[in-house]
Amino acid sequence: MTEQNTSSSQEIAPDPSFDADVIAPGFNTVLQINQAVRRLLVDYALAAAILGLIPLHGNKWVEALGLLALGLLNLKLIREIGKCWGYPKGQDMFALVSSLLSVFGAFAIAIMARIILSTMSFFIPLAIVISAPMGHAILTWALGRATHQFYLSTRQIDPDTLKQVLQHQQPHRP
Amino acid sequence: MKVNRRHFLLAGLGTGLTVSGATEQARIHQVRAQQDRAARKTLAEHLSIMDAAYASELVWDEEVEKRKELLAFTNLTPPTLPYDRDMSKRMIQLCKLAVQQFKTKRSNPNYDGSIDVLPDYRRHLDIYNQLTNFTATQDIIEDYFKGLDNNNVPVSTNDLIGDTSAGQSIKNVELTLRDEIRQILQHRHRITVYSGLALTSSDHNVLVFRGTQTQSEWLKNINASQVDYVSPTGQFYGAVHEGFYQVTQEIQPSIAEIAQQLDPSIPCYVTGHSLGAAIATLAAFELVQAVPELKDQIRLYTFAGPRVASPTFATLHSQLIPNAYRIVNVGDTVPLIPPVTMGNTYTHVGQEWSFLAQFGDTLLNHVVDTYQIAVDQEVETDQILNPMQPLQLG
Repeated sequence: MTEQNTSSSQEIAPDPSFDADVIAPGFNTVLQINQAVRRLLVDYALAAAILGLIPLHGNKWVEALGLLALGLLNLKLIREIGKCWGYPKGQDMFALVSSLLSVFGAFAIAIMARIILSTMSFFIPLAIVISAPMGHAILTWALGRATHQFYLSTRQIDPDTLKQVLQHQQPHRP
Repeated sequence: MKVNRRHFLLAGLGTGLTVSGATEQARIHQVRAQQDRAARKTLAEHLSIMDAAYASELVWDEEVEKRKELLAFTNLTPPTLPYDRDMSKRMIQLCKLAVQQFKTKRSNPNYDGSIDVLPDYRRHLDIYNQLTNFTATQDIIEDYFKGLDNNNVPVSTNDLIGDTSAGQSIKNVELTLRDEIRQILQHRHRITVYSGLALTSSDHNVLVFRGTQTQSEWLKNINASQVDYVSPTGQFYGAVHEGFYQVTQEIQPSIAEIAQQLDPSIPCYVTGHSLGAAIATLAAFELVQAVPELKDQIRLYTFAGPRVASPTFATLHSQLIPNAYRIVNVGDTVPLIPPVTMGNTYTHVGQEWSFLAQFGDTLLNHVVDTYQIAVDQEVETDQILNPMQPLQLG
C-alpha cells in the first residue's frame, strides 16, 4: 500500500522540464489578449446596436446605407481583433473551414434573433424596438468570436510581433 | 468617475432605446387610433346601409299600401239588379260563337257571318235576329314561302361545281337572292275580320265582342299607356287603355251607329271575353254616350277582362252603368294586367264574380271554354275567393 502511494506520488510529481515561471507569462499573455478581444466585442456590439436603433426605414438606399455601415463596423472589429493577435499566420484548413461556418452561423443566429423578436412583437408590441439592435449586436458579437477563434487556431506566434503588440496595448489596459 | 468609451456607448444605446421605444409607442397609439377611426367609419357605413335598407323598405311599404288601396277601390256604384246566371251562361256561349265566327271567316272568305251555322250554335238562340256583324280592318302580313327553310333547300349549283370556294360563293349568292325574293313577295295587305256581332230579340238586345285573335290586336294589347276619354260633348271621363280604345274605335259599324238602332225600352246586354271584355266595357259606355236613354238598360257581363281604365273612369262608368258584372277565374293572369300602378293607374270595372279553375297553364286558365264550363256549373261567386286570404301583405 505504501509502495503504491509512493508510486502515485511519483506519477503526479511535476515534470522537471515544466517551468511554471516560464510558461505562466505565456498563458497570461493569451488571457490578456482574450480580455482585450472581449472588451472590443462588447464595445462594437453596443455600437452595432446603436446603429440598429437609427430609423433607416422607408427607402431602400437608406437601408442599404445602414447595412453598409454595419459591414464597415464589423470589418473594423475584425481588423482590431487581428491587431490584438498581431495577425498571426499558419492556420490549418480546419481553422479556415470552421471560421467560414462560424461566419454563416453568425448571420443565421442574427436573422433568427430578429425573427423571434419580430414574432414576439405580436404579443409585446415594443419588442419590435429591440429587434434590429439585437440582430446587429448578435451578428457583430458572433463575427468577432469567429475571428477571435480563427486567430486562436494559429499554430505559432512570432514572439517579436507579439511583444510589439502587447507593448502597444499596454497603455489601454485597465 | 472617469468616462470612457463604454459609458458613451451604453448612454447612446439607452438613449436610442428610449427614443425608439417612445417613437414606436406613439406609432402603435396612432395605428390603434386609425383602426378605431376605420372601425367607426365602417360601422357608420354599415349603419347608413341599414338606414338605406330601412328607407327602401318604407318606400316599398308605402307602395304596398297604395296598391292595397287601389285593389280595395270601392267607389263603384253597386248593381241595381241581381246577377243573372242564365244570361251569364248565354253571354259566354255567345262569346264562344264570336270566336268561331272569326275563325270561320278566316278559313272561308265566302262565309257571311251567320252564327246559326257555327258548331256551337244552339236552338235556344233562335230568338235572336243578327242585327249586324262588327268588323275591323287590320294589317295582315302573309308569306308565300311560309314553311320554306333555307337550310333545307338544296342548291343546284353546289352539285354542279362541287364544294369549292367558287361553288360556295355561288351558293351564298343564290341564298341571298332567295332571301331578297322572299322579302319582295311577302304580301302585306289589309283584310276585314269579324270582331263580334249585335243581336236583337223581342225582349232584349245583345252586343258581343270576341277576344284577341290577330297580330294587330296583340300589339294593341301591350300598348298600356293611357289616353283621355273625352265624350263627343267634350266632357272628360278619365283615362283609358290606349290599345283597347284604339281597337274599339276601329270597329265598324261604330258603337254610336248601333246604339241608334237599339230599342232603348228593353235591356241591352253587352259582353265579351278577354280583349272582348275590354271592348265591351268601353262600348257600353259609348252606347250610353250616344243614346242616354239606354243608361238603365245596359247590362255588362265581361269574362276574363283585363283592367281597362283609371279609377276616375271606373267611378263614372259605374255611375252610368251600375249593372256591370265581371266574371273572372282567379287562376287566370289576364285579369291581373295591366298592374294597378305601372306609371299609369288602372282599376277594374264591375262587380266581381269569381271562381277558381287551375289547369297549370296560362292559356288553359284563360280560354273561353274554361269560363263556359265554370259558368254552366254556376261555380262563380261574388264572395271573396282568394286562396291567399290568410296572408296579409305588409
